[in-house]
Amino acid sequence: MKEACGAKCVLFLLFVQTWLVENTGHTSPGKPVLLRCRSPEKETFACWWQPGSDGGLSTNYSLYYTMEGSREDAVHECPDYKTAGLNSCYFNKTYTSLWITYTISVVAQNALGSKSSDPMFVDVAYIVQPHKPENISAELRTQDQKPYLMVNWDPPHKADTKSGWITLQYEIRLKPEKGAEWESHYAGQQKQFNVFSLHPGEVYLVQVRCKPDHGFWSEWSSTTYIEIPDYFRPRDTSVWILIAVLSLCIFLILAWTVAIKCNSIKSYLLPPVPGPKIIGFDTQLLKSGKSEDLLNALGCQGFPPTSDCEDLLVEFLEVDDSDEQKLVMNEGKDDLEGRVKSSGNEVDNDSGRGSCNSHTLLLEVSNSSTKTFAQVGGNSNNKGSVKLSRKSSTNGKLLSFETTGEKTNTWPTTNSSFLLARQSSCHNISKIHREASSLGNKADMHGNTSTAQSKSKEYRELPSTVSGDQKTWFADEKHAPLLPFKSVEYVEVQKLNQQSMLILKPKTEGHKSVPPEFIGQEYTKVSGVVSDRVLLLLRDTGAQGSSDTQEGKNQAVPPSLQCQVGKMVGTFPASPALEGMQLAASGYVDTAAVLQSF
Amino acid sequence: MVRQRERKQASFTMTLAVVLCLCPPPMAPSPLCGGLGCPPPILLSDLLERATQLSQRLHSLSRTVTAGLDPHFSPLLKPRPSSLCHTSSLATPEHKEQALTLQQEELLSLIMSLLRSWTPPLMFLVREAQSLPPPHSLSGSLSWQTAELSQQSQKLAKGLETILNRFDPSAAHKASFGNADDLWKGGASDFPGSDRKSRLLNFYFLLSCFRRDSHKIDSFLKLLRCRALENGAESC
Repeated sequence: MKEACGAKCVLFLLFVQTWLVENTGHTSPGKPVLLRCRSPEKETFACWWQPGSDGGLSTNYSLYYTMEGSREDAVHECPDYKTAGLNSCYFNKTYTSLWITYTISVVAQNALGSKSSDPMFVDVAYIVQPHKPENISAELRTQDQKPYLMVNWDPPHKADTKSGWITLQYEIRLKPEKGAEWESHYAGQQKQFNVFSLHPGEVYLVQVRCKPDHGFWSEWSSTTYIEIPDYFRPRDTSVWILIAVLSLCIFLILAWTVAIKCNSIKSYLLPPVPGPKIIGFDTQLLKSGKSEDLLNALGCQGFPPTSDCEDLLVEFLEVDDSDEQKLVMNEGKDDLEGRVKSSGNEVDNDSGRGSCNSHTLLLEVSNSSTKTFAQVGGNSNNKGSVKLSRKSSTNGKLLSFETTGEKTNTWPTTNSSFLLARQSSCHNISKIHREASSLGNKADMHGNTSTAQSKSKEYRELPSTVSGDQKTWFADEKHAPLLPFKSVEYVEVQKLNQQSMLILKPKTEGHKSVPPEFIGQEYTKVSGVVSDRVLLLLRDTGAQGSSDTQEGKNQAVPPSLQCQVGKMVGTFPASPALEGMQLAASGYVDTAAVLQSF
Repeated sequence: MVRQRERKQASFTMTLAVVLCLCPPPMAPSPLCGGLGCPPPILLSDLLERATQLSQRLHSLSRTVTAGLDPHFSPLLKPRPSSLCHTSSLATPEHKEQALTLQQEELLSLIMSLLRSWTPPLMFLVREAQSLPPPHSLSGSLSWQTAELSQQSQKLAKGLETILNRFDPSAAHKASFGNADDLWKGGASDFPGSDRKSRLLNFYFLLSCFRRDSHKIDSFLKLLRCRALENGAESC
């Protein structure tokens, strides 16, 4: 009975409660939750809780605590619900004891019921979280023209750091106003900090927070604004000034260097443009000479022998088969250079080279395909040979060979019909240039002396043996007088035979006719041979066969030789090219013509 | 003749004087350093500064050790009237005002009593840590941590003795906390039983008591340090 009644009662109560809930929606309160307890100065503390659902009814909350070491039923209620705010409990100094564990719980109660939270065990010594630091001041200072920020602050006024009851550590952070991240610095226990990494012209935000030795960090203090003015830039300006001074110094040094080395720099940067160099062609001589037009008309270039005859000599010197000739050639080169300053009396021992001043050898250049020129002369060393060198070149060139100065010039050779040697004043002519030209490339003169020889049997041979002194041409007295010495006779040099003998052909056989235009022309005659090597050409205008002067100065030279030599020397008319050609026909030394006859 | 004798005497006395001056006579055994040639004594504030550094380190270490064990044992450990630390009988101030009223020497002796009372239990903890089957995550660190705790507390105790000598060279104070060594009834724990759980609970309980006491020591020493600073405004 009783049991059934009890069960019925319970069921009834449940029914009533459910009915009540369905009708009113009220329930007992939800379980509150204790959030945290904090002590700002290790002397007082406060606790906060989170209320649960209130169940639709007014619910009040009570906080109860017990202390360690006291009796278990000595439950105390919170002395102060207001000071710390809503849902809080504040324990003042009286109620705060350190190093004692508090057991705290909150009870929510409404009309329908009550609910108690889980207990929280609190030891005040471990829940210290101070307030924010106060009185933060930031001051701009300079050290060695470098700005830095000096930040000062005070501890929270409630924290008793003076007695040492609580010891605080500080942390400062700052950032530019438009910066994204804070820059934090740990400041230890001091209440001042210097910040050096500043950007001028910006506004900085500064904040400080603190923490006890064994506790929680406080919140960040309120922001302090400080502006870094721009006038700390002079440091950058001084850097720019330094850079400007340095560049000025470098510039001055460069300018001075350039000024000193002006010429060498000019020559380095702007090398002199070499003029067109035509072999055998000297523009300077052309300009000074009168024969420019004629030269151009003829297509002959470089008629006056150029100044760089040496090069030409080098180029065009061809060594014949004989070793002697090679030697001659080599030595000839040396002589060329060595003889630059040869005096008038000196025999130019280079074969074929017009020595001395004012000798000009005009070599007529024709347009035949091959050119050869003979370099006749002696060598100091002597082989004294007549050196016949040929060179085939495409253009005929007229070599104007002037030995005004010192230089003897080379011969560019072309096939010239004859060799013109013009001697202006000097009596030394070292050589007579012979040109043997092969017609139409037929004869390779080079070493063709044999053929020439064969053909020139009837001609006078001019053995050229060089010995000691060089009798350039021919010491062969046997063959001496094909041509009487004193008569005006002309010979043609045909060729150089194998023995380096110049083969002469007298021109009396039919080439004697002197073209009218040449009458009265200047001829060069060999006045003599000097030192056995040099043919002295006498500039004789119109005189023909003044053989008086041809008396050999050089004893070694037989008169006949001289005569021949004299005849062999061509004239140098005003227009060498044209007249040269014609002169060739007149019977002057013209190896080409001689060859042609073959 | 006479002059020669006089000269000899004079030279002899001279020599004797020189010898005496150069060879100092044997002296009574001097204290550790009390003469003129001693270096200046370390400031008391510096000694206390060093002591506070040690105590801070000690407390931080104990917090580290218990923090590892807290998740496991703190729900199980409810303060009971019987579960008091063995040092609860020592009357330590619980408020700042109480602490500030104490004299320097009293405070120091209190600190030393606390420290001395923990020497035996710390050694017990070291032994326990090695033999106790600990929770898995702490097996490696417990033994060396407890060993470190023991060493640091002994170091601090020696430093405090030096400081005590500064305050009061007399040995009377040393006797006042002579009984501190007996506070801890070795082996008798609040959690009787030799099962693993009881031992672990006891282990944790002791560590938590030590954590509290090391915090007390640290706080009192910092009070002493600030009080010892003459100007007082620098670090306090």
